[in-house]
Amino acid sequence: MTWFGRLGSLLAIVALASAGCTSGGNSSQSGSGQSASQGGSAGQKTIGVSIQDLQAQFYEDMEVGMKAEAAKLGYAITFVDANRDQAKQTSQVEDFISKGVSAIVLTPADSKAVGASIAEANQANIPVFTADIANSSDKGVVIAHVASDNIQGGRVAADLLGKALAGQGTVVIIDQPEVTSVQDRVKGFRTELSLKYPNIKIVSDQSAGGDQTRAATVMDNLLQTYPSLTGVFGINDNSALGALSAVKAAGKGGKIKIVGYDASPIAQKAIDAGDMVGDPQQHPDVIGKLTIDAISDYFAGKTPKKVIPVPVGAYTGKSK
Amino acid sequence: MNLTPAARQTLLRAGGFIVGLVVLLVVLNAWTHGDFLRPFNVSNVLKQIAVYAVLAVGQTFVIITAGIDLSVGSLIALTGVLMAGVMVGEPIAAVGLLVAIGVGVGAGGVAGAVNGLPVVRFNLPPFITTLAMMLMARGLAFMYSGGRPIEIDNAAFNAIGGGTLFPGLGHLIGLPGIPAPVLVMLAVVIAGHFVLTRTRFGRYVYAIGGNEEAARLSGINVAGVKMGVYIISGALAGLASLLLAGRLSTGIPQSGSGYELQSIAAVVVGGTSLMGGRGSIVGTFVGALLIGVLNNLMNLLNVQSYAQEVVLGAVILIAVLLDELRKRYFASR
Repeated sequence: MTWFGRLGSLLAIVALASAGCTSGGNSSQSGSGQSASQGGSAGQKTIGVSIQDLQAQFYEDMEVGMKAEAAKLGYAITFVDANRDQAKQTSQVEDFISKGVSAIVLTPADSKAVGASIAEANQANIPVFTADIANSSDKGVVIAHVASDNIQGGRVAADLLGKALAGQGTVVIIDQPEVTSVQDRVKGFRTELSLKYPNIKIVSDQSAGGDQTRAATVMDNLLQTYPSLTGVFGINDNSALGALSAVKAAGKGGKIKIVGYDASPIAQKAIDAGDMVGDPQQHPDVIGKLTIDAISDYFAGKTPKKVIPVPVGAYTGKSK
Repeated sequence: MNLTPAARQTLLRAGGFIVGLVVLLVVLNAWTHGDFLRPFNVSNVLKQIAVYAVLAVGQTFVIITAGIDLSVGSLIALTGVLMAGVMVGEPIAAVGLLVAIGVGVGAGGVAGAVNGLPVVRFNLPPFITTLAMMLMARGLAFMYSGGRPIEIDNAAFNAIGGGTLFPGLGHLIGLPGIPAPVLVMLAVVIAGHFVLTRTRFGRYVYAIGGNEEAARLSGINVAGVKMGVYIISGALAGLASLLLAGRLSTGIPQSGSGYELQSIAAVVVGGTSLMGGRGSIVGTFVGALLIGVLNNLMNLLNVQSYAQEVVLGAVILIAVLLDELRKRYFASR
């Protein structure tokens, strides 16, 4: 038995497998899959987008915003999912460089470790834009960063929780401290709370990695440790909804006030039902649209603003 | 030339294979509008598989003894943050580099020994001991780093994972050089192949996987050899982590998750039997290469992200199935 026989048959499957699914894949390329792979030769500009976690509602909305704007401006656009793995995202950036895309958009899987891959794209003279999460390393040059004003968003969360608690109580933060945008949210939250609601104490700040299941476990433990807890700030809706399920399971539904972040459809339902107080609401579709606009400006020879902030609103239930 | 019929058949098959391979590569290349075989892309693919391939070499040793090592993904995270941590604030770059490599590979090796000890002393299944290590190492990585990534500013360290060597050779094909992690990977593959096929230790690894009792009765130090394979796998996880952390210039406590399964997939696709006793490092390298090429092709061809995982899973299944059928076919002739 020789290994090349094995290699031969395997390569044959690779060919068949990729053949079988490119047709399917292309149809999802907002109608421009075929021309996307031809890129420059057809004269159409291609934008490669690698998203930290394409399964999150937030990024799905951002994708919709980007696709619509790209279609309007006549760009081909390709999305890949980094699955929260920076090594995977780095590989995706390299594959974009191989393909010779005209611009790359990243929502970094890791705001520090992404720098090296941005530097690689810089070296290949491909402009890089970031959306939602910024590059916080000193490597790599980004043309423009488009994101919600997360510090302001954190203040919105503090106001929602502060009012619901009438300025009195003990709260915990379900955190994801490795993400820059989350660091900003927590910073805004802490600042606003200490300025306007000095009688509300933050007793614990724990990471659940932005994951709903883990948030439920973390909240279970916090409920044991702090029986007198009155409020929770979940740095995203997964964290808030995870906390909510733990609070309900402990029979404290309604007694503990919960504020999330993002106002995803499921969180909106929880807010409408009174299970959650409210959410700062980002506008991911606007972030997507403005990112493509910044790219278009850059293609046209203009210099987009280095940081493009998108304001955060508040969702407090169906308008009554 | 005087060739035995068997050797002639092998040569013929090799010839047919090479022709087939060239045709296939040309087709794939045309299909990606020439992007696939561009030197930059070939160098990309090799760079991208380096971490998996190094892990998979260690995994091959373990699997040939009919064991399994589920801890390597978490060990990447643990040794990664440890290496990043010991370099913080170290004023002399060369010292930091050497200490970091020692700590990373050493900690991996120690973890491997902890994996192996209960297996050889108390006959616990390796699935259990390495599963326990997978959980412990991940938790320790988070504890050590406080859940936050640790940035690495040691240029030499980052060059091992992300730099290039031999610029002269690279310029011939229009690249800045040969990626350093690719050279590390090739060195590990060659060394692994040598140890497995040309040393007494390597032969013992096969003997134990084939029939552990028979190996024991024939005087082989079964416990020692099994400890050896787990230590090798752990130490190579430390080395793979060096490549990954250097490439990202960061030690990340979340990194490496799922890599244990990727490495097992590469080993299995490469024809190594999970039952032990059979397999090769070259096969494993081909398996890692195949998975890497497939991932790269799907990105070049704009295959949707979710579909990529379906294809990857299906290819692993079909590859192993075809290999089994092919073996039966040749065995029956």
